[in-house]
Amino acid sequence: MKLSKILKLVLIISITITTTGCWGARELNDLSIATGMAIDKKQDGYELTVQVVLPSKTDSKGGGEGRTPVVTFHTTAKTLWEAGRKLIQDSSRQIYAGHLRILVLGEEVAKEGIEKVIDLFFRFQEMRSDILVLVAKEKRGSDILKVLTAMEKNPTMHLYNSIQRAEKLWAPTEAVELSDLISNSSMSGGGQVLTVVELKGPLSKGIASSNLKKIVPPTKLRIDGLAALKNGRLVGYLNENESQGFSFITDNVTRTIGHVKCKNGRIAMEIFKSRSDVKGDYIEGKPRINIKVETEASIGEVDCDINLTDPNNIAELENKAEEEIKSRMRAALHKAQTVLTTDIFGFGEKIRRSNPKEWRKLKRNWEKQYPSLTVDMEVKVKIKDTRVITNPVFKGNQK
Amino acid sequence: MKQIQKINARQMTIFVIFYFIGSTILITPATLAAGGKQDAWISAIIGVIVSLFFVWFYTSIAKLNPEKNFIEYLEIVLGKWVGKFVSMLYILFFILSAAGSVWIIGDFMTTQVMPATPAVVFHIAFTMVVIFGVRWGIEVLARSAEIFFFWFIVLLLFFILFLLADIKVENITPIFENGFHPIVQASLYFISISGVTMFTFLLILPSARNAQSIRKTMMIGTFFGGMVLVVITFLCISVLGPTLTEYNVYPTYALAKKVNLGNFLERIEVIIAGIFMVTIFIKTTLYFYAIMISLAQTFRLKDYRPLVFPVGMWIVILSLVIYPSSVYAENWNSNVWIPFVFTFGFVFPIIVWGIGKWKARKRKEVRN
Repeated sequence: MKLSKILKLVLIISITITTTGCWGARELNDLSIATGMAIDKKQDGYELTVQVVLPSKTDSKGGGEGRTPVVTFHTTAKTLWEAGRKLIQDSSRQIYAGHLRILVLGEEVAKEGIEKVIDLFFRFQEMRSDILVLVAKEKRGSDILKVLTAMEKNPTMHLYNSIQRAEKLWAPTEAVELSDLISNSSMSGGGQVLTVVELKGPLSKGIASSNLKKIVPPTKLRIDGLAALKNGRLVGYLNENESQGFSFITDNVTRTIGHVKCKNGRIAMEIFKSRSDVKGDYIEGKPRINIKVETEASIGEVDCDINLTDPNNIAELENKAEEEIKSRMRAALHKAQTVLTTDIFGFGEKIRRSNPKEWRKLKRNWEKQYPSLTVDMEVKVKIKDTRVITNPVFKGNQK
Repeated sequence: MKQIQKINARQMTIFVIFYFIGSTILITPATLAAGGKQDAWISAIIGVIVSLFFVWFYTSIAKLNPEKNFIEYLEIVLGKWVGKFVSMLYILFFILSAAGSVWIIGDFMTTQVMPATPAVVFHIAFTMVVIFGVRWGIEVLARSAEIFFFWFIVLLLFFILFLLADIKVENITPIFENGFHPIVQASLYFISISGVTMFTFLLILPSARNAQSIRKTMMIGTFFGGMVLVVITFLCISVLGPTLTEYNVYPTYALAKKVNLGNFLERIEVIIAGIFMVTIFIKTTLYFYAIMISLAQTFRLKDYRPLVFPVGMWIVILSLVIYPSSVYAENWNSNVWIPFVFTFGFVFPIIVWGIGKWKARKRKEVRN
């Protein structure tokens, strides 16, 4: 009786000791936590650049003199996974990718096709599908991860935050998550967009810590416009206006600001609600797209003389704003349909959803049909308020 | 062997729910999406309806002779030696199925959660719990299933609630794009893994306390379990999209990774994985229990308990070698599994049921 009790106790103790934690436990001080990754071409292989945080340098007291809060390693190999493992030669710790926030693709890689590089990110269990994917405009991806940024100690967090915020507050960009890349919505038509990051200023100044010591940093990273892909290959960039038009069409506007002309000045309006409805349909045997955009706006800045208490004036402003939005949407459509000929809006998918039978026939010559596709649009702007004051304060022009 | 331990109707319902969900919850959304694409959830609904028919059929067999389990019945109907031979085939089937379930746990843990841990550790740890469960008997299992059930429901509700915001209804359109045929075809695997394997209950049902209500109990359990699977499949398709659902080996786990409540409550997929752990545990344990009942019956043992540990060791070893690789497993599942399980879950039972009915009628005639 007593013996079995002792035996039980021994068993309990040995089990509790041996079953805590997992086999492959890696403590924080064995890991280097990667937050950013960049992929570039190198001969017939890849160059993988990984930005990891230095734990002691990211807290508020750390970040001491002379050392940067992050460190970037890079290595070359024929495949990305090999490159990732080879990094250990430089870094002394194993890279942990579970906190990866952004993936920067060099322009060359994007031109050659993203499907060649994204497989690893879905196959490897450490990766999460909410990583943001960017294209480095006219640059190598590794350049982007070398620049020091002022607002955030960690440059990848700078990019991550600025994409997230720019998407919400300033429409001409879109946060593209890894899982979006193989979601069905973009597959039928073969088009896709990616966020663009631009390096403003010389790289040589951006990599020096003096970049942070100046009030005006000579080199900056900027999230700007969108990259258009066709069948996974980068074919061109949309500028600010076109990107904004794209966001209106694809219902990705949360807030944005635009202006309309009035007499001798301009009126800026903030759009704070936008809903777009894209419908694909067949009319007389031809595919047709109908876009309906409904937005709500408020007047934010007026520098001309106008009576804003008059409903007629407001209606006129609404019309002008509608035209303005339409022109941006038209610019986006023109760029995508005739210049780049890529279905970034997912029109093919809309047609497939509304009429799958016809789509099966259309699918084969979608490439040829797409540029001449008729797109009808209807935009409605509703001005909800004039903010804190009604009429413009400065009436100098009246005299 | 007499099944002395008895379980009540509620416990039986919980068993049916867990068993029906089993490993299906983890793998099947991928298989359904591979065939049915965005209509995978319709395939799941069809699967549940067909499974209900199977359950109806199995309870008809059970009603022919509610006191005896299927293996006993085999010997009565097919004669002693043929009956024993078929029983042994059934034992083989249960052993393979139990080992397959253990393999799924090992594969899931090593590829998704703890890649550095050798699979054998999970196989042993998991089978140990199964062994204890079977050793203590069906009543203990039923009570633990009741306790699990509460947590299962809580986790499931959390899971569904947190994902509601991520549902994109456009992912499930257009409905019936490729016609009805691929949808029905996709549901076949669902039926084979959830519906047809329900015949294991033919061995467990004699433990039910109230034999009259078994059909109702089984149907309710199957329906509820089926609805859970339909909802999970629907969530996979509408949140991940048909393409990602198809590409993932374990789409439900990929779905759990999506749970994110305001950047605050996230990365809780392992807790969510508790749902699959519980259901796979119950399914494996019931397979194991079926092995024990069959062994005891076929070899006329008074007590199956001395055999639990050795057979458990068998299963650990077998589960390590049953599939040489995950690619092999996938091939086996799509090519061999369906005819294999239909032989045991449909062909044999219908023969037994036919002969049983015929013999019963003859007996009546003789008496008259």
